[in-house]
Formats: sequence, C-alpha cells, structure tokens
Amino acid sequence: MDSVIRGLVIYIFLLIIFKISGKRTLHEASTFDLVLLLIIAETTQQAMLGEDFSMINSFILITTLVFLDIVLSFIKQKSKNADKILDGTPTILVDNGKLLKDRMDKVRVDQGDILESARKLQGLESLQQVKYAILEKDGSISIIPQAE
Amino acid sequence: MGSTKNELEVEEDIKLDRRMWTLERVGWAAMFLFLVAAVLGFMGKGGLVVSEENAGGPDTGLAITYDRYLRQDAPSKITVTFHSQRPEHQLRFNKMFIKSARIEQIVPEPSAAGIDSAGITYTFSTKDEGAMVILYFKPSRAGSLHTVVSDNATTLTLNQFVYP
Repeated sequence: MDSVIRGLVIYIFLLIIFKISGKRTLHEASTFDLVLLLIIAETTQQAMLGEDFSMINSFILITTLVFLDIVLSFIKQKSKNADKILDGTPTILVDNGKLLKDRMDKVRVDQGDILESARKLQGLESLQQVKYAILEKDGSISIIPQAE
Repeated sequence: MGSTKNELEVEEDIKLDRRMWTLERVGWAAMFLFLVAAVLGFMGKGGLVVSEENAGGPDTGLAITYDRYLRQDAPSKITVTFHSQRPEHQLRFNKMFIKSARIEQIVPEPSAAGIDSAGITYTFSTKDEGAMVILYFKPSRAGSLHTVVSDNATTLTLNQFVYP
C-alpha cells in the first residue's frame, strides 16, 4: 500500500510543480534543462523507492504511475475543462502582425524567442513577416507567415 | 479577436489562460514559502531558526538534545547527558519510540538492556558527572512521535514530528 501512495503523491506533486512552472520551463531542452531533468528524475526515484529495491515494489510503482496516466487521459477525454486545465490551451502571441506584449510577459516569451522560431521553422527574417505566432500546449512557438 | 479565431482555428481560451497565470504566480509564492520554511529548518535537519531542542538540564540531572523535526528513514540522534553522579545510570525509552524508530547505534554500548511491557531500559556504567550517551536512530514511520525518556529520577517527554 505504501508504494501506491508514494507513487500517487509523487505523481500529483510533479504534475502540480510542472503546471506551476509554466509551459516554457522545460521546453527548450538546453544543456542545463537536461541536467535539471536528470536530477529531478534521480531525486524522484529515490523518494519513490525508499529502501525497498525489490522487483515487486518496482512493479507496483510502475503500474501505479501508468495506471494514473491512463485514468488522467480518460478524464481528459471525458471532460473538456479538465483537458484544458491539465494540458493547457494554445495562446496567440502575435495576432495579425501585432505583438501581444502583456501575454508575452505572462508566459515569459520575448521577441527574440518568436524570431528564433520564425527563423528555424519558416526561414523568416523579420517580425514584419510573421502574421501569427502561437505558444502551443507543449511550450513550442509555431509561426504562420504573412501571405506574400 | 473573433475574426482571428475563425481564420486561425486555434482553440484558445484566454480567460482560462489568465486564471492559470494567476495560479502560476500563487504557486511560485507557495514554492518560495516552502523553501523559506526549509531554510529556516521547519522541514527537518535543522536550519537558521530551528536547531536542536533541549529538554531537562543540569538541575534535573538529565539533559537531552534532540531534533524537533525529523524525516522518515533519515538518520537522527538523541544526545543524553547524565548530570548526577552515580556508578550506574539507567535510561528508559517508551514502547512507542522503540516501535517507530529503528535504533542504529548507541554510543557507548550499554552494559545491559532490559525490556518490560512499557519499554526498554539500558544500563550504562559511568565514572563521573557529565557522562554522555548518543543514540543514533532512523524514524520508520511518519507522524508525531512522543518519546518518553527517563533515568531513575527524571522523566522527559520529547515531542517530535516525522515528515514522510
């Protein structure tokens, strides 16, 4: 029983902490973010397993985590609101060529980030060529160029 | 914005977004407070404000130093100092302590240990006043832990809390 509770608590804790940290936090997999993820994984693992390294404990924990994931996906499918809260919604950052500054501040995206995505994804040179920029649910920025 | 949505077909919900952003900020504040509490020592293992607690003292004949906040399965210790002069000192722990803590080591080793229905009694031979015994242990269950420690004359209760 202890393992199931541990798995449950840690799953929920991670869900909340990553929700709070915002869409952008771990999206850009910079070297440092990678290191951060590894450290989080290591810390979590020890807290979940405790001193019990038996196979049955790992089976219980894995089943708990995967089962929770399935339950959550069911909830998301059934309830539109739950889906929106858990996975977030896309946010428009550039609307018809106009930067929406207040939103960009809130989601911690600056002009440079939008330009970077514009270059990488569409090969655009300047902000004038961007019609729409959207912060997607996963934290990436998608760009729709102005029609020629 | 109406035209945007028609053209763009993005399922935007800016009202929810704004609510989430507010929640995010509240969450950051909560994270900060959590860290402050940890730095101050309220999450165990000591800190700027909470360090070891003392019970008893030289006038009661028995002085104990212990941690107020503990963590499950993390090492901790109780330091006992005998302030009375006797060739032999007895130290008693209640059953709850024995049940909820795994005693790792007692320094020095007691010369004898005896059990009864209420707890366990260790006997140490001492030469003079101020002799010290350190008990290293790991709490095995979370929650509050009321440890009753006594020698022949004094009884002290230690109120500790074990984080899971």
